[in-house]
Amino acid sequence: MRLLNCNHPEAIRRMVISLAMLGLLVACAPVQPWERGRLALTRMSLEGDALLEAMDEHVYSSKEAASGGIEAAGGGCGCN
Amino acid sequence: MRALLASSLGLPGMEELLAMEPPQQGLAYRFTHYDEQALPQSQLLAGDPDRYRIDSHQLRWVQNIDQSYTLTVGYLHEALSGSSPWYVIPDSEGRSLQVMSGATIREKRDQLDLGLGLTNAATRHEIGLGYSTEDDYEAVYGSYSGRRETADGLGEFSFGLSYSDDKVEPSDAAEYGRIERASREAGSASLGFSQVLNRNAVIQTGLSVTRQTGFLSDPYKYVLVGQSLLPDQRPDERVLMAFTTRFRQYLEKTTGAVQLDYRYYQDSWDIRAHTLEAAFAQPLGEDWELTPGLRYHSQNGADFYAPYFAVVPEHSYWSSDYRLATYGALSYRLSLQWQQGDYRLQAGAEYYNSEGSLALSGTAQDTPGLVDFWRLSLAFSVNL
Repeated sequence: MRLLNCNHPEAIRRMVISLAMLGLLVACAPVQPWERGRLALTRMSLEGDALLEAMDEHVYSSKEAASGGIEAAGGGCGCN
Repeated sequence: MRALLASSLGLPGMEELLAMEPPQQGLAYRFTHYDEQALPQSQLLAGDPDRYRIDSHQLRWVQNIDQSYTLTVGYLHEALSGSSPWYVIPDSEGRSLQVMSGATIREKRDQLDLGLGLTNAATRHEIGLGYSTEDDYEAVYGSYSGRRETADGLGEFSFGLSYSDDKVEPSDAAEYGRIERASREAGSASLGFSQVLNRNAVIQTGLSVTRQTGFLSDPYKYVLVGQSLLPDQRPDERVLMAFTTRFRQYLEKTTGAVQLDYRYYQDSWDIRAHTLEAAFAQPLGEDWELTPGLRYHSQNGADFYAPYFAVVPEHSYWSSDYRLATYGALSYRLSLQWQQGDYRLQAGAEYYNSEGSLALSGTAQDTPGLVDFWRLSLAFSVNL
């Protein structure tokens, strides 16, 4: 049985890509306040509809081995 | 993000005067019908081929108590019926055949969530408590989440902690030789960062780590090990990690938005998974919005998974639960939304298809229990 394997080449590659992505974030250009209206649209929301997100997480984590997102997890269920 | 209100007002410099806004007050309801397709007769050895159908009702109420505090109440009720994969037996040619639970399972689950949020200048804190109960399972859980905006109002750090204490009391334990009662715990921590890239794009990335301990086996599943039928037996610890990135791009030509989500997952059971979701939300006139979407999931199996074990494995763990197998899944989603003022109606449909051959990597074994399902939903919400 293997715990989280950070020596795995694929894991290292992903870490490098993540760091490059963070670099991109830091390098992005400033956006003026009056240019931000589109970002407030519901369809541009990063989190989406709360009930739909909760149901998606419930369904997929019940039927797949993977679970977890950016938010911390909630409680489990006896879904089999 | 606090600058968004300023932007909608079109007032340069106003964002510096505005604190992070409290959440939108409102009431929301969602009904979901979930329907798994029956197992084909060619893959069934015994039991009921009709799998789960679940009707779920969700309610969510968000109320601001004052300028700073917000109360959130969530309630879920679901009613389930159908049969579930039990174990796998090879036929004379070595082909895996599924044995399903014999009698139709009927069960109900209720879940209550309470949240108290504090919004203060550029920070927001929220504590949550939850309780979920069903005939054979009970979960009590709590969480803390916090977020803080960067000084320019274009970025946001988020942080979360959660803990869940679960109790399992399987039905008909004596009759089927199942464990009578057991417990499991899960502790989770998460860290995220979102950033406005330009006036048309925003990105978020984050990492969550969870440690589960206790009875992590499925008390209703069995495994053919050698010539014996034994209970599902998994390690009593699992450490899992999920790295998620979300990206939204506004398209000036169509006024629609491209939504991309990717998650990389790995855990100490040697499971690795990639999940990619892509959707395109397109307004149709003033009030309507159509969102077609595609989701792809691929995972490689747990190191103790097999449909059946010809010999007893050295590590003494075994499971033939199809959810721990190597496979891939494609789901097709379509959502139609109507919104006028504070009122919103939404209808959605999803078809989910999973197959061993859809896996990105790894060797897919013959896993007859892999599930296909339909999901239909109808939602209503009003801003108060």
